Amino acid sequence: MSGGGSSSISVEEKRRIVRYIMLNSPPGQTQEVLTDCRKLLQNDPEVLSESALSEILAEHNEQKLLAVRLPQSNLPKGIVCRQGRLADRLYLEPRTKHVFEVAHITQTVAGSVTAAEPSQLPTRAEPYRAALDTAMDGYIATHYYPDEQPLPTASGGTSGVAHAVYGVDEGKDAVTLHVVISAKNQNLKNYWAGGWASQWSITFTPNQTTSAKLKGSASVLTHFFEEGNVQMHADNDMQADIQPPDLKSAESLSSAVAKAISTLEGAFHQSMEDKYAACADRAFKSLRRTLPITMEKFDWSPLKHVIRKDLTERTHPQATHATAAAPVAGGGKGT
Amino acid sequence: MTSALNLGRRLPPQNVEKTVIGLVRMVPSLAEELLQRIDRPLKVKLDTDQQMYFVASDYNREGNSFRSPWSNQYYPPLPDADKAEAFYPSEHMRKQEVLFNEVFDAYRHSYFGGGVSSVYLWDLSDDGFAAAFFVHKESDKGDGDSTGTWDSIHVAEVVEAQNAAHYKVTSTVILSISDTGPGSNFRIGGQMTRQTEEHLKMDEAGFVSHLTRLGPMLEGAEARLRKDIDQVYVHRTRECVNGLRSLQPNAPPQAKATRGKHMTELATVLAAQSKKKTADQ
Repeated sequence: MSGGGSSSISVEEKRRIVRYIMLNSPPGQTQEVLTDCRKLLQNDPEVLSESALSEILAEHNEQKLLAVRLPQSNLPKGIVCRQGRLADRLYLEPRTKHVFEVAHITQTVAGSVTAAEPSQLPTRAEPYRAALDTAMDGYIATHYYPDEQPLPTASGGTSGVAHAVYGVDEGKDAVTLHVVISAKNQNLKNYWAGGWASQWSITFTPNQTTSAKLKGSASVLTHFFEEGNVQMHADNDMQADIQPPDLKSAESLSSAVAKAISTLEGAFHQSMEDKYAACADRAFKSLRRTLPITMEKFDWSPLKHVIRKDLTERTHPQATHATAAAPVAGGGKGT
Repeated sequence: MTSALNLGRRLPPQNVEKTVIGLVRMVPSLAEELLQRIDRPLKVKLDTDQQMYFVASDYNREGNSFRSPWSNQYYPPLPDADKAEAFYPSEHMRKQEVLFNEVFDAYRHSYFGGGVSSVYLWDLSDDGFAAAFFVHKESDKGDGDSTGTWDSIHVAEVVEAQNAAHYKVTSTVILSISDTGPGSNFRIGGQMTRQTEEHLKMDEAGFVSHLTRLGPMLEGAEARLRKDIDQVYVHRTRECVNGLRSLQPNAPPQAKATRGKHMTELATVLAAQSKKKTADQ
């Protein structure tokens, strides 16, 4: 380790380290991690300038698909993601067609929520977007947990899920649809938290004769940290072909896409379950046994092992530390 | 410093090395303490005289060289300038170190099968000594797509006083398992520390009896850490995944709605009751 050195590192490098720390902050603890960074840098105004921090947190919030409650209670949660970004800090809530502003650093909604301008909304894509949005409602209700409802798992905690479907009018007759799903499950008082983020996209033209690719990625992080730090990270890139007949109408498209997402996310989830099981069965055992092969605890009396050592030394005469037998007589320390 | 340690607890255990390097670069004044207080995955070096691997740590380091517990030599060899100042245990201490390594290596073999172990001893200023025990184990390749690394670090302090000895052992396990088989990139990282202390009468003095007392303490601590990480911590992260998404379809919306309705009715009844109570008072 080439510790210290007299010259300190540049502002840019310090920011890069802050960025690394923030992007790796575990679910539900972004603000705590930010506070720790501020303390460590003694609030250095140059490194931690408003604009630099805002940029770092924007990247973090979009990557983790931060879901924020909008001030009007009748609106769905807004999701901070690049698919919904209209401008710096401005994001679209595509179902009710509202625009909200995010204070990235505090991860809260800033200012008032306004109706989106027609220019900010797709036209050709809208019927497909709306139909897929409805189809996704069914999938979300079936496989995710609604907001703040006590969970059926033993550990309890609070859950919450948000999803959004965005439409984009592309060139020619093409349409792109983006789906984002953001779920959290956390109980920080009991030292655990988890987050799920998945994103899907498909570009197609309604009358195309070849299949269209649905591409997606999912990323999950769960963290348990009572007197320790244990984290599970899982991610996967996935894709499916949506066949031409399904592209013809908004209804057939949305049910085919929702079904494919359900299948692929289900397989990803199942794979995590399988790997958890393998981890408990095999991985731990191959690292360290619970008991020695003798099924008895280890015998710490040196005599036995030193005799073994003597034998190996006789077969390896070149060994130089042949003093091992002596300490059995044990020069008592401090006596 | 507290903030730095907090970050150590919050950021992914899989990346602790990177995190510590980042923190050290960002706040050089904390470097020494950070490197001492945040445990990082162990590295091993080859003792070319004995053809045996040993664990490189802050406890056997001199500049960029590390002292092997097998040959008592530094690898890579120390530059001439440092040779005179380099630490070597006293002859007496070295004898005990050889004994401790011998027995601990047998312990490593019986629990881990493979891997590398090392023990380093040094005198404490008072009437006592300290020992650092290490095991580094990598899972056998060829076990499907899964790989794993286990590091045990036990730092023990022994203080003798009037026919008794006080033993304090700080045990840390750093674990990482990854499975890149089809379906998901799956990684588990864990780090956990436990402390055990015992105050025992000394029937017979000497290092042999210290070892036979320290041994079971660290064996027990390691067993508990393994059990906790496997059966409690990893299990909780799994439960947490299943609280994010349900593998099986949830109860149909119909049933949920009904339950919601019951809850609303119950809430109405309770509210009415509490209103009545308030009115009665």
